[in-house]
Amino acid sequence: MTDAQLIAEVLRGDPRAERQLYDVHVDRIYRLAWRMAGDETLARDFTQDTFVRAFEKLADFRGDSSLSTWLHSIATSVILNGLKKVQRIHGREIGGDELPETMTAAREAEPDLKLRLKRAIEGLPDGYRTVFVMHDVEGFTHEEIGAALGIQSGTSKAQLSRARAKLRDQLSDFAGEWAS
Amino acid sequence: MSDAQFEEFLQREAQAYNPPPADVPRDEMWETIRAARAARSSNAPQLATARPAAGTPRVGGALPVRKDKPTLKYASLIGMAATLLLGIGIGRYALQRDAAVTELASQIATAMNASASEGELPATANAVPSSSSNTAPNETTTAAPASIALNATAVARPTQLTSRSTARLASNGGTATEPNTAMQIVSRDHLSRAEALVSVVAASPADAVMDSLTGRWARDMLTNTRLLLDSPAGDDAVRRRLLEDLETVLVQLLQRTGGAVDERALIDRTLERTQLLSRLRTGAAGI
Repeated sequence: MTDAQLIAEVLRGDPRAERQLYDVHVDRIYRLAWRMAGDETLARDFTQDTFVRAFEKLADFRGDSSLSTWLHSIATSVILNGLKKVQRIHGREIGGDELPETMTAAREAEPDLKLRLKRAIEGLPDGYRTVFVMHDVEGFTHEEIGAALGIQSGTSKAQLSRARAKLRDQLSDFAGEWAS
Repeated sequence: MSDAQFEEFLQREAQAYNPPPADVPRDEMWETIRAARAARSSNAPQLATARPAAGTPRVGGALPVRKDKPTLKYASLIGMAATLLLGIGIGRYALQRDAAVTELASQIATAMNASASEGELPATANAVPSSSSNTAPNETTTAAPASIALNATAVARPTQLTSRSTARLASNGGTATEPNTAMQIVSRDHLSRAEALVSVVAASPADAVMDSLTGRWARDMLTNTRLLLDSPAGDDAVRRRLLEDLETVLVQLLQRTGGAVDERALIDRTLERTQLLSRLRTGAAGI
């Protein structure tokens, strides 16, 4: 069944088509939400919210992009907005000068390169981190990223390049271990 | 170390970044999605005609059959109507009580606007109409929108007031410290209104859909909160934190779609965690 047929069935109110649409796309969206949030509850919330909104707005889907791209544009919006709220609430609860380690790039010496990499990724600006996770971690193409984030694919490439440069800078003291 | 080596390292190691579990909880999430959609559709009367006939079994993704629970629907409508009436009542009360405050604030606004374009004003703009400076609170029949006063705070901070505009204020019976006083009055006015809105929200049923009037009220409140945060009123650390918490709740309120219960739960948690309502009460009284 093509996207158009599936959407038509969903709009006609066919519950099996709804579930089929969900099954086709849920894994990739859930994985992206997990990667971005690093938390099961948030990943679930973001995924659920994405599909609730998608079903709500499906009648407005014009087919300019693929259904997957459209769903991912909703997902990235839900995830980024959700994470902003969470960061804001966290910041309030524990004070601005006591951000958790996962929310700031660690400055202290960290013997474990993988942990340092994780922290460095967490410390990237939202835009860079999103592009980096989508491309280098989840394997999205720049065209897919551009369509999902509403930016040019060239912008996606540029942001990925800057993200990598920042990570390289953050991990410069581990330079000897990269190639090992 | 070359870029290629680093990229190879990233390709290899980045996969370990927040690795998702192998099993996706599809069915659990689907049930939640169905429930959320059902809750929303039950708050949208126009969808009622799409209900399946009595006796039709529920299939995954179908809207829930609520044929035998009409009272719930009416209870929700009654709740919304009650909330609306309460909101209007509180709003009117707040408008009446603060008419004098608004008048003073708009007087300050006029002075601030004048100072922003200093040197280009006609002579008549140098003075606020004397009648307004002498207007007693109960003589004010039409209250200017509070947003006018708050917009003025964004146009010019009191610290930017020139000696000329300060003198202009003084000539109207004011003093050099009047902008700060006005800012306090505007802040108190705003917090009082916020208290009313938050009370309405907190008292409404969990699945109530926000009506357009309350939505507009919340949007205006959010705009004014942000203006206040950028004004000298936001310089005070305690007040700033209060305004930021208020902003968070207003954003959550405005981003809530339909009668989503989980989003309402988020608002309730924020209200509880920040103790916003009680802080608004003391904040409005303590300024």
